[in-house]
Amino acid sequence: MSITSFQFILFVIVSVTIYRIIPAKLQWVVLLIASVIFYISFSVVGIFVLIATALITYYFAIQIQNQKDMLSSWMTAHKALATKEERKEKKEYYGKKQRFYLILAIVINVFILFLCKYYGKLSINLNHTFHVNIWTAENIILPLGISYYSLQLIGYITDVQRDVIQAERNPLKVILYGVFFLSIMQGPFNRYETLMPQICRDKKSKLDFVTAKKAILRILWGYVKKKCIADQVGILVNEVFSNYRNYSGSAIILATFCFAIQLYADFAGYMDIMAGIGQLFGIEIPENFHQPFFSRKISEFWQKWHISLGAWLKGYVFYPVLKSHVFKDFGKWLTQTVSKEAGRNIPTYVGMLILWTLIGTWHGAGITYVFSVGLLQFFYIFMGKITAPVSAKVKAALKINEDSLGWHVFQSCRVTVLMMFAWIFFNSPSMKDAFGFIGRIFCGGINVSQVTQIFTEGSALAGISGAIFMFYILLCAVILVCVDLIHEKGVSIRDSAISRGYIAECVLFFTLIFALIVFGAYGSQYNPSNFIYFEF
Amino acid sequence: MNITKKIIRGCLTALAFVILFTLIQTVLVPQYGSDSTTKVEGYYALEKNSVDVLFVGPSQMFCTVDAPRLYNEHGIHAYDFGASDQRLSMSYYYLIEALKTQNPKAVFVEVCEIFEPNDTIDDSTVAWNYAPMRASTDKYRSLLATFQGDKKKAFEYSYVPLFAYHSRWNSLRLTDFVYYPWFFFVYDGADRGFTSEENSAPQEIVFDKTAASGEFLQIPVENQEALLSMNELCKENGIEIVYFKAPSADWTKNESASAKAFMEGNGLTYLDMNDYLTEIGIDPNSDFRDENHLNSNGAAKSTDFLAQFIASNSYLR
Repeated sequence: MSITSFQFILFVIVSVTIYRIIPAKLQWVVLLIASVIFYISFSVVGIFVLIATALITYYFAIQIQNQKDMLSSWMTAHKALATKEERKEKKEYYGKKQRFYLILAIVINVFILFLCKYYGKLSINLNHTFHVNIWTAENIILPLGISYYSLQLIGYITDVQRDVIQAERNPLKVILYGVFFLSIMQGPFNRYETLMPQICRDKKSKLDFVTAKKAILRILWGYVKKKCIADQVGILVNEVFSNYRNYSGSAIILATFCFAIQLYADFAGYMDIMAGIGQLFGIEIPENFHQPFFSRKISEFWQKWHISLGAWLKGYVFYPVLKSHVFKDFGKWLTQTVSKEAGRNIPTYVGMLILWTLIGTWHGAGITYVFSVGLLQFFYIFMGKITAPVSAKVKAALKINEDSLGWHVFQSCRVTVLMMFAWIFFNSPSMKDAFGFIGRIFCGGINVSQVTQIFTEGSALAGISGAIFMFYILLCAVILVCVDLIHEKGVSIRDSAISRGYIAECVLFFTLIFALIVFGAYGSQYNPSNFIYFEF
Repeated sequence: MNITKKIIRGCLTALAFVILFTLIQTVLVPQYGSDSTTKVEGYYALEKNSVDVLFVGPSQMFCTVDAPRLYNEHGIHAYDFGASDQRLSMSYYYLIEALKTQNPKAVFVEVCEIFEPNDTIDDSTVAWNYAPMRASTDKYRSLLATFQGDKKKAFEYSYVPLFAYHSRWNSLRLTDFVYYPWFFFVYDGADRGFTSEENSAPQEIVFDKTAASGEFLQIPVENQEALLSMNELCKENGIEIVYFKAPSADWTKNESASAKAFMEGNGLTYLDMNDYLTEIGIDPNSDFRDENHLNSNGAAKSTDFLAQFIASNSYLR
């Protein structure tokens, strides 16, 4: 069931209607059934893997909770009689058991994720490189959303162990948390403590007319981003990235720029659709984008792009790693043997390296992912940090006003260019192709005829004339920037239109609907394309 | 806001949506001025039951049959109801559509596409043949056959053509915006579906492709079904039906023989005009626009021949 199909729209309408009709206590059941149907529409076998993973996590979470309860009971029973040492001993005993269950659950989750997502490619590469013949796991399926639900379930059990939440006693609710259809495909990562209270309510949330209108407008805007911007621009991007040897110089740069537009519109468009649907269910899912291209630094960009992934990895990997005994001891050792500064900074950099390697690996088993959205990002941030003193001196010497608009624009452009460079690797099938693509940038220079050709070639697939297509892509970029600019100023276009009354509302609704109908990349002239992050 | 106001507002919104949708659809669905759109619109504009002889088929039909001449010279009310590259399954649909408003005495179906299977139909052929036609279940059924059972596509092209043709936004011309107003005020249907090639320079056509290879050609099943269905439909309505092949240098002898064998085998009336080129008076050097299409000189001669054929077989009695 593609998100952009009529079946999906019908599925959402039916689900929301039933959800809104039945009593609050049963609403989560509707979401569970809807989510399972949605999942099965993609993968029947995958649902068994997901349910098994969820049930394993559920079981260990219950075990952890039991240990906590036993400790708590013991403490209550022996409050007056137990000595300090006895209490400490009991705490350690139950704590060890909890950690054991937690580690076991994490290992199993990671093992399933590794087996399904990474092992196949890794084993093929090992066989190829070392001329060995290890099992390649050809028949193992890649369950839909495994990268998302595995991390979410790990987050859930970690939160149980950390006392952030109580373990869920109903296994179906844990399954629902894993399979929840608004975030199973491309996120965002939901925390159990924020998502589940919204789903399992005692009292029904009211869906008023204004909220419904806002939600539908957001869904429409998401579809416009996907079908009118990402998929149309994607025609050109695919043409150049697939045949980069035929292009050079300005044409290659243009395609790189277009891929940035495509990726952003595609991913953010999906999030808008899901957030809008969530509002119809009365569920607020976390925002995953916050005008990322206005960021001044790469680190800031990642706080505004795929926000929930960064937040999850920081919360469950980065900070725990930094706070671990190994890192603390490492920091102390550096302070004593090298310097105070080294003791403070080097463990942080090592933690960052682990974090970025994980972010890259999470995207896929290919080295292009590990490099583009992992190691290269670490390199950008690392360089930014170590050159900060020099940079400050240069800025002071040049009397640059850091608060000026010009400097902000320069910084945002710099971030965009750096990300565009990284995404060349992200969108290339191999490192060799990525370097080949980059090499073509330095051939040909500014070649107007090639730029015309890129539009003609790219557009030929959709029967579009070159000049109109060029104008269309420019318009897409301008629209995206303008909308983000308005949002950056704290203005919501939807709220403004609705508050201005009936005519403004109609204009916005009709503009989005007809833009989608006319400019959307659908029908027999277009190859149906999935969301880019669907792959992950 | 009270409930009445809400209902009025809702109705107004829906109305505005429908109007906008229709306007955009009118612009984006392709219009073929002086071609299939004009022919189809002209047909719909005809007075009811005013056609004696209906001609159905692709461009070879409407470049061969000079319908205005049939009336002016021979007193036969005829209409060329066709579109370029029209396949036989489409001709069958055109015939169904035609019989909704007309009750002709005879129907002539041009069969140059008899050996072309439906899986070779391209987007242009679909647009030429279906875009101007009105939405109906018959259109849907015909499109279903054209798209080989793709229900979604057939539905879009039949009932919401905006979804099918939306990507034309990038190739719109001024004529797409002005076609309908222009059509409303200027069209008089005088050409009755005929495409006159008066100004085209005479072509020297060589008939060497008519050599027989001895290979017997298979008629695709969908075309066989269409031929038999058209025959059945005309029988039910008491209409004489004649399958004919317009003069063409691209029509080989084994194509001719294979078509004839099928027609004879199924008791269908068939006229291959290529067998009567001398009687018609066709001059390969001056009567053709290209290998497959006659110019107006050739059309006049063929029309006179067809008029004679109609008279001699007493189709209008």
